[in-house]
Amino acid sequence: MPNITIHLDEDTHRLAKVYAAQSKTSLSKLFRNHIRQLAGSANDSRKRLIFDSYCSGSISRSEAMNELGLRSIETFYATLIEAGFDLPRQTRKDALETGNAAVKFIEESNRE
Amino acid sequence: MSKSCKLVIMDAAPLIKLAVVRRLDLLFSFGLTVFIPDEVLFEAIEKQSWMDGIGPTPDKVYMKEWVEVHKETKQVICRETFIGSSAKESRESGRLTAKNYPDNLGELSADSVFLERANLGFGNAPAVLMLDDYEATDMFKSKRADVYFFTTYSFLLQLEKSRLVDSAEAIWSDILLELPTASKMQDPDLTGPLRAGTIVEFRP
Repeated sequence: MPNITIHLDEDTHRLAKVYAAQSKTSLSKLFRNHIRQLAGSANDSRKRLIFDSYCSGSISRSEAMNELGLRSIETFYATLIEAGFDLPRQTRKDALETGNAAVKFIEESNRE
Repeated sequence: MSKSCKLVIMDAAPLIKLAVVRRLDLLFSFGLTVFIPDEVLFEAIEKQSWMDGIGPTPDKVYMKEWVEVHKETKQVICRETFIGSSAKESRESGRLTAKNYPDNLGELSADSVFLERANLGFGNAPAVLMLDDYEATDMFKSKRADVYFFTTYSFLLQLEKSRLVDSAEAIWSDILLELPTASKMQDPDLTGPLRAGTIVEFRP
């Protein structure tokens, strides 16, 4: 395991030691867990920001997949849904309007 | 080739969504012939396995069988496009890998269907496009609605309106429910990564 040196002022050092003692852990473990929490939280926030951008139409599916490092549509959809998002879609009104025009065109084409 | 209206699948997403709930047959509603460009079909059936190095999931096995069965009855037409055949050759030669695979090959392949439509035999036949729900939302907003198209959701709503399904929302909810698990379940009879081109053979 690599070693690193951190420079702390005396007050912060004392606070860290007291907190570690109260939590029955070491300064190393305390620091390690805190970094993991921060990184995990930042990663979750970043992921949610990308999904928000995709669902609001600011970025495309390809761009969102690239940002997240996901290579298949299936994994992208799964990750999106598991994060609590719906798949983006037209409003019911717009979807009905789109579909009505398409069905009318099909019916006219079939009559010709 | 018949002049009946074609449903041209422009993106793999509608196929992926309907396959996880085993409702691909719905695409034949309204008497449509389903036209799937080669690279779109690759993206829908094989790409996940090729990219992630996993065996095919049961929904992919179902989709492959569905395509093969309905190719025989001419309800499904799969044709090579210049983009698709170039991509296939590059995959097989190893020039195109999971790491350098362009994201928009399926869309380019679908676009090339229109450029090559006379050669493909439906130059004068009417066609309705099927797009990803996200893409259509964008198209609709920008008022580029000069073409007739369905999205998975708008298609389901029309099926409900025509009383061909009970509830579009229920199918949409099933899709949301099934997508996360479907992408993780490998078919127990088919283990190991698929090699590109091993599932579907295109016959131009």
